[in-house]
Amino acid sequence: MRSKPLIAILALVLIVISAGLLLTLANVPGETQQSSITIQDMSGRNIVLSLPVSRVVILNSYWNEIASTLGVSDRIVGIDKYTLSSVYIPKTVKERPVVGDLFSGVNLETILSLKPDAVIMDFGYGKTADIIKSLESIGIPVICMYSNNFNDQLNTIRLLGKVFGVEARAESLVNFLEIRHSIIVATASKIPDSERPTVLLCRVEKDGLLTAYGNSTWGKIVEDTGGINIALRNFPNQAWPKINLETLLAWDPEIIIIVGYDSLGLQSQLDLIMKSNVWNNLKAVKESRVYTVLIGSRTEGAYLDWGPRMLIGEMELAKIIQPKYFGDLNVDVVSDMLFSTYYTQ
Amino acid sequence: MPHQRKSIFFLLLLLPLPVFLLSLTVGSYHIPFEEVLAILVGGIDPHPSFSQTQIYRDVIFMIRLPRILLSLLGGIALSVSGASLQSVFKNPLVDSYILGLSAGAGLGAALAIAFLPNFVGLTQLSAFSFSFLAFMLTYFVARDRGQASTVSLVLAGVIVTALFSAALSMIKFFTSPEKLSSVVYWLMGSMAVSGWDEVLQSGPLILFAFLIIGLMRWRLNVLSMGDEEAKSLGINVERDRLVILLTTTLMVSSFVSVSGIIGWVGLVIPHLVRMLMGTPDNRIVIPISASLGGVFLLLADDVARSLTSYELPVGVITTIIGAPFFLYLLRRRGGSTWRQ
Repeated sequence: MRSKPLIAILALVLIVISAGLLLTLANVPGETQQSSITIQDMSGRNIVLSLPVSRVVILNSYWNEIASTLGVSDRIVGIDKYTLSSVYIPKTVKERPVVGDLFSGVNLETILSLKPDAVIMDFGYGKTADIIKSLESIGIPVICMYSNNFNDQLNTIRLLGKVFGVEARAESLVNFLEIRHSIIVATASKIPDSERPTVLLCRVEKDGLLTAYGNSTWGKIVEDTGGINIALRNFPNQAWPKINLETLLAWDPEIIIIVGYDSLGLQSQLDLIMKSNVWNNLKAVKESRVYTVLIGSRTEGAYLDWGPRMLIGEMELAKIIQPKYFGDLNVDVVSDMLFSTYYTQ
Repeated sequence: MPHQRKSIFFLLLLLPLPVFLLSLTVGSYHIPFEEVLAILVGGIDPHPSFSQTQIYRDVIFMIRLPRILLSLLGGIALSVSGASLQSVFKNPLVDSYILGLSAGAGLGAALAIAFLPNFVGLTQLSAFSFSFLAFMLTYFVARDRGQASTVSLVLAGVIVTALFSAALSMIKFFTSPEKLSSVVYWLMGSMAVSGWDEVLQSGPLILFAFLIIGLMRWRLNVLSMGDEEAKSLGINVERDRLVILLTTTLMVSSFVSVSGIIGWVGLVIPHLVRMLMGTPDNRIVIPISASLGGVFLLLADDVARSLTSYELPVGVITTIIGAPFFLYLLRRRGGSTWRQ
């Protein structure tokens, strides 16, 4: 009678051990199956990466932000100068060594000393061409990134998911963004032309001139959310045309959206406008349809930027441009969901 | 040459060698000194099975060596051209930028950054062409009845610089913020991501030009005496001056096109050399300027690449060191370092 519990315990131990062994055995091929992957980066080049990709240097704040939302911020071992000024990047990432930036160049030796499995960076401007050439000459794979619109943005999230081996998390973030974005675009596309207001999205410079958002990512969001981007219509080939007050009067947009990197910057722009009598003649001023929107990543509450936050920025613009169709959009709820799900480590 | 001056001459001439070796050991990637030596001597591998050695080799041969050579070449180009032009213009405040070269190179680079596709080498080519164009403009504006006097050359240089700077500002104003940043950083000068390509692009031209100036160092002395005296000594003043202007333009343009604008080397080094050697004789000033110019830019670039984890713009460092040092030199010499 006394041996029964003993046998039972022995049997249990055996089962646990064999289960453990089986699991371990089952896992072994999984770990050794792939030692490298080939990915196509956003410049169309095929890059071979040894797995796992556990140490990366990322040279743009938005790719650092996306990597952090994918839960791999601990794999970032080096950053660029501009990443430091973003409030949407975990503190631990900002404590990594700064290796330079894409405009003034990077310290190749510092990058090499960080022993990265890959460097992730924009291409096509500044010193990027020289940096890519130099890094590859010392055997460091470079993953070139690029984004010009919302869909590019989704593709970069998928690509980074693949690089870090966190495809599931990347796909869930893409779904979160894509569903909401496509509803906005679909709703806006049904708005009749007669109900589309002319919109100027701009920055007021210190000299009083305006930098308008024309054929740029954010300029195109204006059209995507049911507005007529007056700068884009007038300068179809220019990303950031500069215009003076006479042009502003001639265009006389129904809605003016002023953007700034922080509330101080927005206030100083508004002060400049207040001082000017010219602005009082504008339809948008008379009808109180001048709005301010925070952009970039320097302050909390700024959403219009590269990265997942672009969705929230798009929602903000939609509410301003088409209150009739998008007035019910709850920006706060969506941003809370985004931040609580993806911006926590 | 007096005995003491002779020993100083050879000491200064050989100075680049120890600085060259020192620079190979400096950098943010830590390599033990003995490893550097072992790799340089070659063959002797302290850890044959150690893959780390390959990384050390890459750091030394792919990152440090090309930059060190480029710094030496750049130092030679800037200080030798400065010394030569100071002789030709008989003016101690002249350097290679007086002929409009920097404004030309800046405009060329900005045009390429703003309007041309982002290909390796395109910005350099454009900067080189435009700095040469700026010089040609300066020369032909200054020419009057087959002669370009030094005064009209300086004035023409000022005018061309102003014109090119205005065009540069225009591009800066109209280009996107992203490209504006690129232009601004280009103008600060940096060799951060320079490799063998840059050395091979600019090196041969700089050395060729340096050889010509070296061969003409005696004629430079004659030219610095003044046109009348030079003519009386049987020198073809107009031709020799043009050859020197073209040569200095060639060496400075080749360097500036790959590095961006690096200032003050051409002004400070020749003055320092004249003071150290106690003579304006170009047979001494030219070779020592080359050696000290190389050393100065090399040390400045060592600071630029190893002081922080990122890169500092070397053009800013040469100015921060050069400008106060120049003031010190002037004070010490009671306002003049020019002695004939």
